Amino acid sequence: MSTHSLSTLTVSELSTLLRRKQLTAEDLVRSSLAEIERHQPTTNAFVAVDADRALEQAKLADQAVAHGLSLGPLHGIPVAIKDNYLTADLPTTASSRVLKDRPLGGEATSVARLREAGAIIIGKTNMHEWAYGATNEVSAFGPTRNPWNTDHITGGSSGGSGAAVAAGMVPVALGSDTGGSIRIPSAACGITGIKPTLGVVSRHGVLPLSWSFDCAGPMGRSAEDLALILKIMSGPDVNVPASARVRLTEELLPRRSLKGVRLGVLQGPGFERADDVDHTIQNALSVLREDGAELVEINLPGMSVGFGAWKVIMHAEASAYHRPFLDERAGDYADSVRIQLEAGRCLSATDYLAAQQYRAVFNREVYDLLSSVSALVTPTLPVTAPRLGQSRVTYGGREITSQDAMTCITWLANFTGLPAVTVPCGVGSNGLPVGLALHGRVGADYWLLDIAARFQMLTDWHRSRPTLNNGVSDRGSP
Amino acid sequence: MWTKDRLKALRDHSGWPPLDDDLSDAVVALLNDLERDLAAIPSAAWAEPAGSFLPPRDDERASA
Repeated sequence: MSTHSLSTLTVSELSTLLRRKQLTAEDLVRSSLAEIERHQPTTNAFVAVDADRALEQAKLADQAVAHGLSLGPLHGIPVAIKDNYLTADLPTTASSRVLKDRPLGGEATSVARLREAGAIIIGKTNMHEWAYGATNEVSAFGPTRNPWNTDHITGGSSGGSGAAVAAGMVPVALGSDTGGSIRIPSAACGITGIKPTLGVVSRHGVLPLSWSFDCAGPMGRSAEDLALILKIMSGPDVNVPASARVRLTEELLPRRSLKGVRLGVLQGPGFERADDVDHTIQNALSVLREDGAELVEINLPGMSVGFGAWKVIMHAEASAYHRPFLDERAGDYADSVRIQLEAGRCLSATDYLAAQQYRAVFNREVYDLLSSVSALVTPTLPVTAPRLGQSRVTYGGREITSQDAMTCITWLANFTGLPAVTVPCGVGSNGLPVGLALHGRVGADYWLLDIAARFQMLTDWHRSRPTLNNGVSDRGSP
Repeated sequence: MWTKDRLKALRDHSGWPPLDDDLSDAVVALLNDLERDLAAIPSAAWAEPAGSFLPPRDDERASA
């Protein structure tokens, strides 16, 4: 099987080949390493790759197959990890100079669980410094570039993970999400991503940005794959008391149709989008409707106020965590990150609590909305990925910063703690991917993935791949 | 309203090192944005307990 064809398969498909001995873990890891070598110069997706160790683990995985040993659900599957997850055998820097010469010990619970399931950790992915931004242009390792057009951003802060999956370097990667950092690069790079319900996946060993919003989760080629990975990552962790509080309600059950599913399509202020994005979203909604889903338009007041309160909370929490680093190594932060941290430390306790108070009020409204519909639907992003260096975007009669354009819808799931999935649903007028977002009830993560999987049975956007050619962006046909 | 003087006074009082002019300008601008965000919070929210930031489970919602 050719390297290229392996780079398009899902985890489920690769696992089947491995178990049937039609593929070896060594060949799969070599294929992954070859794709990284091809696309790293143009995408800058990785900050560290451990080829020797990955190959060594692949050979051990093949020996286990040969000896008929019990295999984990990710046996022999190469996985990339965002650079803010602690990994025992690779450095963790949060893509910041602050940590470049400060080795951090230990391993994140999610990484340990993936290893126990048989995954091979192939490397660490580039990210927006400290996850404190949504463009992935600010990193001690340089910006990542979108595999669909390398003149454009990947979105962030898990941009390296997004580029690595989209370019076929790995079938799945881990990200973290405080205001959209899994879903933004997933949408911008044309892959599938989930921000789980707050507390479902342990954050132990994931460097925080804002602990009342932070979630860890997977990014991959299909909703079915994400359900598999989520099952491995989720569950109580003695290191994180809150992780025991929320349980997932059900597992992925293949659907024959969307009949009986009532979806609320969010409208009004806060949900404006560019014309080409709107056109793509309307087509996706037609697919859902024709499969039996009932779509109802819903207004959600307070989006602008909520977006502001989310920013206040994030700035205050981030600055509290970074206080010792700011005291010792302020000059090692990128200016744009340091500005946010210096501002956040000036907020008062009452400022922070006022924002949390509004959060309680706003979230009650959203939870009430979800008693009348099964899920809320929005575009993941109001625009396709901006160009690198583009500081502002214009759409729907408004001009805002690229940073705000990336987060102005996605913050909603972090503020409410609800699960949210993004699936690729088409391309904009510039040929860059558009994502459709589904927001579900507490603990309904698998249910959302179930709807997403049905959408991916009806469409093949998740199978679309960019064609990268050593720095020359040559977008593949959808 | 934040100004460079107000920022400098707070930083001096807190024992934080001085910021250069460009950074100070950017920090002041961001603080004024955040202050506008805070001012937009409706007064009704001020009587709300901040509570837990974890979303409620269905059984908790049902018993509320």
